[in-house]
Amino acid sequence: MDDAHTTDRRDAARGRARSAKAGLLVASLAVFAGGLALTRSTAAGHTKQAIRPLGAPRQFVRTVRRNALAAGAIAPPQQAPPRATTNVS
Amino acid sequence: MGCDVVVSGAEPGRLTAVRRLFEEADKRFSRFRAGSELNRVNAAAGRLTTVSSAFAEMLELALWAAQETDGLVDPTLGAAIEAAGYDRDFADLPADGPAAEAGERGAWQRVRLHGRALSFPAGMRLDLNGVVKSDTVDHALAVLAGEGWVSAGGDVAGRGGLDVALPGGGAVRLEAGGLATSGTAHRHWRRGGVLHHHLIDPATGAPSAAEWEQVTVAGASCLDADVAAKAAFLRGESGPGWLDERGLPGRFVRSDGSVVVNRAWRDALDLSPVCT
Repeated sequence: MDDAHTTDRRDAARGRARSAKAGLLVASLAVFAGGLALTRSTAAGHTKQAIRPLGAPRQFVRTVRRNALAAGAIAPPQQAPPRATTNVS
Repeated sequence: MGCDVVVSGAEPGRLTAVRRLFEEADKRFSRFRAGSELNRVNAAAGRLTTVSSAFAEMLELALWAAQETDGLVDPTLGAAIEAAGYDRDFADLPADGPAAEAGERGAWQRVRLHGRALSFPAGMRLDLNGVVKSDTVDHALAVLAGEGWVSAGGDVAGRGGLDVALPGGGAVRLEAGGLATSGTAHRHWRRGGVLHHHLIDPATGAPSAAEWEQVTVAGASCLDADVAAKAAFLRGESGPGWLDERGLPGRFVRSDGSVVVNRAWRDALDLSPVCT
């Protein structure tokens, strides 16, 4: 009887310990995530946006490309015969 | 694309990359390949469809070209060019055939493109060949590491200086950018005994009756040059002035062989006017 009672109390204590550990885990994750978010939003030097590869932004490239039709640079020929031909295809 | 591609200044690896660029463009945008994305998209006219990002980008360029040219270089003339008789590979076109009728007029403002979602009216057929070849030439030039040039069917883009022979004789040095020629000298055919060509006037849906045979323009890119050359051709008599308003050098050849250059071309080559 005493043995059974002791076993029940031990199981209950283990259950409470498991719950406490899980609670601690969740709490530490929440504290870590909260701290990370606060650091990113306030600490100088921490990136505040998703990191993008270097290079002109796509929208900028499109805008430049869509700029008005622009002239090429031509000059009197220097070679004979010419190396290329422009004609209708 | 139904034309020769010439590349100068490319190492073997980069040459392979250039070849792949043109092959992919042809597979995606050809009107004559049954499985091309262009034909799949045209089959979905009247419904909302999703296109590849490459297709969306090219269509954006085509719509930009239409906007820049007041609708003269219009990507919605696929049905009109087929109605004119250009309905198969140019090499397979018969010498003559039944009389052609005017096709649908241009309506590029009715194309709706949001990201990769595309819709356009039923019965409309897109044809992006007004920009595909020259844009691919520009991309191919970007593949080359140093000096070099790329030419596709006479649309040229170069880096480092290149002398280019002009239609009707003469030559010009392309220092930077692209040089393109549009006209009717090569791609023409007969229907009902009448000569037709591929430069469709979007206002009529029929081949243009412009007075020029070939128009050459120097642009900051091959795409700019090609779009401007087509627009200047279709503008007819006002083509040289239209180019001058934009500072674009242009050279116009009539069917009798006479040559007209605009002010920008003359200034670039430091030519004195023959008469004032």
